Amino acid sequence: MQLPIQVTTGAGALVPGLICTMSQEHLFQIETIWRGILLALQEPDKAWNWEYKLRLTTNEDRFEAYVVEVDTLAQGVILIETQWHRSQFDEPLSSRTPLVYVEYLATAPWNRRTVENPPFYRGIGGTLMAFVRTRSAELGFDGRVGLHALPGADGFYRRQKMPNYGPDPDKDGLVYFEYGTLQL
Amino acid sequence: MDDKLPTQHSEHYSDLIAQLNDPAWLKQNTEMDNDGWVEAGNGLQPYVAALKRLSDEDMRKMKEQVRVLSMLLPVLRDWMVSWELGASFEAAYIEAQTLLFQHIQRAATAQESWVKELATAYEQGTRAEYPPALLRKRLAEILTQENWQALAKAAMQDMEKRILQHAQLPAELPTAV
Repeated sequence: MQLPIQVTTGAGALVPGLICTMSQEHLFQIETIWRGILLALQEPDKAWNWEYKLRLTTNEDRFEAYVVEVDTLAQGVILIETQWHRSQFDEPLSSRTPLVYVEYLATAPWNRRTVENPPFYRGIGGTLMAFVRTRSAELGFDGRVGLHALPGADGFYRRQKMPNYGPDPDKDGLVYFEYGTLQL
Repeated sequence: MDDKLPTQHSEHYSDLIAQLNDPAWLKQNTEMDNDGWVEAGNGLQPYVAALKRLSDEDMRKMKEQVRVLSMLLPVLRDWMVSWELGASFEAAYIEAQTLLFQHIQRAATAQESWVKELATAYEQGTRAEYPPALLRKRLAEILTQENWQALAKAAMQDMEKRILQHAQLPAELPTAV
C-alpha cells in the first residue's frame, strides 16, 4: 500500500510524501539509520529493544505497521494491533467494542523541535494517527483507536482532543487515550 | 440495502483519506505537532530517553547525515531500479543503503568536504543545482570497489536463496496417484 500525501517541512513548505506499509527497506532504515543516530550514545542495545515487535508484522496477521516516507527515508512509524484489544470506555466488560491499538508510534529522531529546530518535518505523528483512524474505520471499528502515551507526549494527544482515562497501572502509569467513533 | 454497504463504506473511507491532503487539515496538524514528541507505547521509553540525551555534537552530525541521505537516497534508489535486478533489488538496495550510510557517518565525523557541500545545498534550498546525473557520479565515487562487490554478492545470495527454496518443495507435495 502506498498513499501519496503532502508533508510539511520545518520551514512550512509542503513536499510530496507517502504513507506505506512498512517494508524491509523501512525496517532496515529504522534499525540502521535511526539507530545509527543513537550509536553515539554508546548505549544502542539498551536504548533499542523494539524492532523485534516491528518484525511481528511479517509473521502475525493481527499486527500491521505503516511509515511516512519522504525522499525514500522513513520519517515515522506506527505499529498497530487489530484483533485483541477492546475499548476501555464501554461497560459492561462483555460489550466492549473492538478497536485498533497502537503498540508503537514514533517519529524519526530528527523530526522533533528539541533535537532539531526547526525539525525536518512536522506533523508526522498526527498524519500517522489520522491514517490509523481511517484504517480502524476500514476494519469496521468506526475509527476507534487506543494507545498509551509516553510522558512528554501526552500533551500531543490532549491537543488532539483525544479522550483519556488517566494513568494505567498495568502500563507503568502511562496515560491511556482512546478515540471513540469517528464522525464525519 | 446490504449491496450498498460496501459502497458507503468505501466513500466514507475515501473521505477520510482525502482529509490527509486537505490544506486546512495539514495546517492544523502541523500546529498540533508542537515540539514533535508524539511517542506512544511502553516499549519506546528507552528510545525517547536516549534521544533526550543527545549532545549538541550528536545533533550536528545527525543534521548533516539526514540532509545528505535526503539528497542521495532517492537518486540511489532510482539508479538501482534502472539496473533491473528483479526480486533481488530489495536485498541489493538495503546493502547499498548500509554502505552509503557508513560512508556518510565516517565522512560526517571527519567533516569531509563532500558531506558539508551536500548538507549545505540541502539547507540552503539549492538541491536543484545537484541533478541526478551529478549525484549518481558522486555515489559512484563514494562506493569503493569492495562495496560494488558487496552489492553484487547481496543480489546473488538473495537470488540463490530464492531458487534453492524451491528445491525442497517437491518433497512437501502429495504424491500423484
